[in-house]
Amino acid sequence: MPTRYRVSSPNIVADVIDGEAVIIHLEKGTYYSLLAPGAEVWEAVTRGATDVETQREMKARYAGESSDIEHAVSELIAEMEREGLLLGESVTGEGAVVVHTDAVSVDRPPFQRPELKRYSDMEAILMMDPIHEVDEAGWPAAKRPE
Amino acid sequence: MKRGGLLPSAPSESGGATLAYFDAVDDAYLRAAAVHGGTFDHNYSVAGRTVTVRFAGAALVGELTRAISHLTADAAADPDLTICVWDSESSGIALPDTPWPVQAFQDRREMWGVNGERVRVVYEFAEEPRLHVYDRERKTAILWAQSAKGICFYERAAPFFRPFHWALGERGLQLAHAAAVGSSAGGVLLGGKGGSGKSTTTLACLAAGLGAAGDDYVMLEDGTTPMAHSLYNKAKLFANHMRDAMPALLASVVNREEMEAEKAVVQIDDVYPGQLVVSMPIRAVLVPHITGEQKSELVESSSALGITAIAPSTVFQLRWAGREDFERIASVVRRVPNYQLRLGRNLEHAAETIARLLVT
Repeated sequence: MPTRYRVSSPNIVADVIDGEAVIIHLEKGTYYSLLAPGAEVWEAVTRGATDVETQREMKARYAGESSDIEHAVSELIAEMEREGLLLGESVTGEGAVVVHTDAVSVDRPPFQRPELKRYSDMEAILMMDPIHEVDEAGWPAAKRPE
Repeated sequence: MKRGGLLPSAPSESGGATLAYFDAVDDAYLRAAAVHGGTFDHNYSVAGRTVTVRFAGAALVGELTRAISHLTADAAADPDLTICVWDSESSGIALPDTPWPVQAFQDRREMWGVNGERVRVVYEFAEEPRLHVYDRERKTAILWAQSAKGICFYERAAPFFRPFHWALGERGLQLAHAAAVGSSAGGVLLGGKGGSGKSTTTLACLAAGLGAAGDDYVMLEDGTTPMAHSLYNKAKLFANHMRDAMPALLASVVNREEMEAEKAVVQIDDVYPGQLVVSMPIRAVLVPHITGEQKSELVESSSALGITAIAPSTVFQLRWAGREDFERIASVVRRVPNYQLRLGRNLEHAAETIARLLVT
């Protein structure tokens, strides 16, 4: 059964700029970048296309083994789901989403396996020492050295 | 317990309790002011908006005003932002007890919680505790510190960071983690996380005679022409890096005793008088990348590079920040050419490279 996805908003902010998707996970302190064709997968699923529709769209845009493209798209979507960027739900049939499958031409560029680049260098800003103690006025306090 | 601490994941409530708490903190501030016989008022123009800072007592004045002294202005009848500052040590007035259970806060050292639409609360306890409360309707923030000792070096270098973001963000401005160098005729925004070469490039440009609006934070304005406005007149660099790359600056470091543990801080307007630029049109965004080569070069890039360099580190440092901040930064960065600055070891050449870009 096809799965439709939505951005696990409001914790995610994203933009597609010059063919590159920049995605920030506000709660985790991580951010991501996706080049084509990954950015197009992101754009398709966040537009409301199901995984099956997205696979069809990528096959129309890129040259390559059909099964390879389907597998790579599925893997990327699953990775984005694991990272908490997307939430999926099974759907029956196809929705009213515009699916771009009309770009088929003889000179389609070759499909390259998309890579979700993950940057976690900002996590330290968010994930500092957790609360260990509460002071006498009820405010949280950092644990003092023994 | 929740982690994180940006807008979308923050616990929120109707605002009644937070408003009552703001009033309690305001009352404590007024009592602190009475203890000291009134307030010391300092007035500023920040990105063209009027800001009044009222200190209850002198304990925190020096700590929190030097970095914004270049923005001093006449008093405004109805400032865009009023910041009231007090401390418990010098006044003997305690911070009102928290009305919230500790579970309302988030699992972070620097943490916040219990925010309504109107009132924002950030409680930080990295060294000594500090509290920010902000009431949007009254355009007033209150900063409480246990004592002047609680004002750490990055707060001395970038005071009132949170209220500037909250209050001026509502007036079309966006605080950004970026440097800006050039002149009032035009400059470049330098983006990148700590250690990327942002401050090194800024100080190299200053040494070469260019101006700067800031080395770490600037206020962006997405107007007819995208602008970078100065917030702070201090620049900071890791002490060992300053020793290696800019030893002449060591004599001007204002926190020499603490610079190994903190960062070496210099006062831009002392070291480079006349080179601090209050506002500059943004002509390009540069993202430094240290190469180890001698010379520097600029490589054209997508604006995704600039957005990735500036937006995440900005929104992760701010509280009550998220989509709007990201979009405002992206909007400015998209409007100008983006380059990777392949930063070589010859810093004079790096400054020349930027100066050449600005005259083309």
